Amino acid sequence: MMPLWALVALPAACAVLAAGLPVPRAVLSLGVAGSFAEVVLFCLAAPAAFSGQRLGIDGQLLLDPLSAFHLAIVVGVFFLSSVYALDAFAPELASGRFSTGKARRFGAAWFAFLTAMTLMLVANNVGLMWIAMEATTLASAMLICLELDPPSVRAAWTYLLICSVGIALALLGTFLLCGEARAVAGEQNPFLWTNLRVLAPKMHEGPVRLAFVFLLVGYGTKAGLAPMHTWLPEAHSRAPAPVSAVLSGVLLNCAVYCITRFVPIVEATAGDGSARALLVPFGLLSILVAAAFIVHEHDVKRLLAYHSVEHLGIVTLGIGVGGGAAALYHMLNHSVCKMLTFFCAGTLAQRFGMRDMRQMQGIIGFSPAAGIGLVLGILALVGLPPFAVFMSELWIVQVGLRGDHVWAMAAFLVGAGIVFVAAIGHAVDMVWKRPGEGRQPVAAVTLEWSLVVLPLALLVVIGVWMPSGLGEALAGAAAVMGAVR
Amino acid sequence: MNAGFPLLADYLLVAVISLDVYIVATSRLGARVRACALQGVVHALLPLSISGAALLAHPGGVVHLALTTSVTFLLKAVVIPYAMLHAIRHSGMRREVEAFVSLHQSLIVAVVLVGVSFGISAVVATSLRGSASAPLALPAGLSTLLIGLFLAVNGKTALSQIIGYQVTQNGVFVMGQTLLGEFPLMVELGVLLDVLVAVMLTGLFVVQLSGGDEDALFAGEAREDEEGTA
Repeated sequence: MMPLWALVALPAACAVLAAGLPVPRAVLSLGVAGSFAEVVLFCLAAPAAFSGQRLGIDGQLLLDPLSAFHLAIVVGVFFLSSVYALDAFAPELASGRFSTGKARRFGAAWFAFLTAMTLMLVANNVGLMWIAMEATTLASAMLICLELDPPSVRAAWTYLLICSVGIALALLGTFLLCGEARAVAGEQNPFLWTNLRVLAPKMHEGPVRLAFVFLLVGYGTKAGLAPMHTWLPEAHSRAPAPVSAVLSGVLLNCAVYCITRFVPIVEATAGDGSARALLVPFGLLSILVAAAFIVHEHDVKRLLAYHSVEHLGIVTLGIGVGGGAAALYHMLNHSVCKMLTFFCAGTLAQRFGMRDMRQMQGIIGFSPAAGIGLVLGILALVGLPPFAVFMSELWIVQVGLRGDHVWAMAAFLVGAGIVFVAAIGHAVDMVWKRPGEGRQPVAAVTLEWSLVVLPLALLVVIGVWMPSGLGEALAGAAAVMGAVR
Repeated sequence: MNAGFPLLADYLLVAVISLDVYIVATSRLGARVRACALQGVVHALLPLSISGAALLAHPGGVVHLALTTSVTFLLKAVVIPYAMLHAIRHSGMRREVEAFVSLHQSLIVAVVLVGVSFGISAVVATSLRGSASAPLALPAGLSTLLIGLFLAVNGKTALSQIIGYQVTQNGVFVMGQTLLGEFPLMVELGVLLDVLVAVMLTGLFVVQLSGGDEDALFAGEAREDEEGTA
């Protein structure tokens, strides 16, 4: 049986290799090959993980249904984004602006990012999980400022500072929790999540609650929850499009994953649902703040970034009202959808030479694949059926209403309604107006079409039909989170 | 409970608090970096003083202690300060700290934060089981954490903000040291490595990019190129 550390070792080796490759094109090819190999490794490890937990390296590593679910999204999105990178960097490659140095920086940081994220997800040691989470910040900051121009460096720096300082608080929360666990742990290692889970009922309530507040604010900063979301729009919009897709599609999920690891521990200690109740206001605030900004946003990538704040708010709200499986389902849908929209927005922005939606008009005629992808992607994102995002939002509302969270659900629907109207308004303008003078339509290649059709098809399929495998995976992962439903 | 050398621990923790106030009070970046390095030295010595005897008692404890102390010292008191001073020299930026709140007002804020930390610690100490081993550790850690956050928010330039981040981390570690007694080696080293890379990246951003003119890089809101470029 394949050891768990191989999942981390493979991208780490690719990072080292990418830093030494002599040709830019080779780095991009390695990106595709390496991330595909990671998908294969995951597929080998996954079946055992989904049916129960697997430990590695003396209990330091853990792959259980919850981490396997997230890892599936991570490796999938990384692979498709690596493929998209071939397309996204093609013009720069042709003009020679994608130099060897830049390619090496990209390749090394790209795989370092994948390494850190995989390590974060398979870590059983909560200290190691924090270390890997901070490492994702460092690696992705390098990716955000790939261009090394002042605006992108400024965005990378803001991101680095706010997230690092933010998750320093999560480290304090980790220490508080493990310090409390140590008092009752005896010979057991208080840093291992599996031990914490068992020890939780014996721990004192006060310190554990205090620890959770720090963990929530710390990892919540990384998840882009309002009011700690301020770094997000700049970082996501300045990054090259493949990087934005990964940042938005999976990194935010991973931060929420960290929070959900601690929810069952706090619940087992306090036992009154107070940990979940704390998530609800953060979720609602994120939805409403994002809605307010979406109305006035004209930069297409910043618009998508605010959608991330909104959707992560929905996920947090979903977990808060006890809909673990629904929230996980929403995370999957959001990841697929956000990956698609960032691919298309990136391509369009490149071809228009700008990101202002008021001047990006007639996008379907101008660039069919990316145009259709962006418009349908935005429709899916705002929750139009039959796309899966609609189903997961509906599921969260159902769970919320059953749990007597009527006012929270009402506020959620108001926020979602504002986003719906505003985003469709933006999309309609981009479709119906004519492209500016002198713009010749750009024909799409097969690669571009497949990167649009594949995610869209997936969104429709899982929107109308839940395969039994997916249903079981969701239920299994939600059970780890200790969710009621 | 006092398994280490409690008197030494108290002296060290008083030093931590004094350094916090000194960092806020000095206007020179270089002096702040050096004070931060001194905090690193204190941090390296803390495990020895707080839980030294307990650590030395069990097998492998000597190796653990020697390794954490030396690596912490090497990174926090030598490598990181060196990188910071290098960045300051080569960025050609002004050596004075630029901040939103003036130096005098900052000092008042710092003193208030130290007072608040002692207040909070008095309330929560009873429920935190680890805190009995060194009663000063909790307020010292908390005030370092809060002052670090204040510095990170108050600084106008990348280098002064990253010093705030380092002070925050020092605070987290002082508190962690008391709560946990000992860190697993992997956690301690991993966190230090992250801090090191964060500092290196900051240096890279500042030096390579600005070509010395950090003001141009971080001035104001600067969204002028917002609409035009992709």
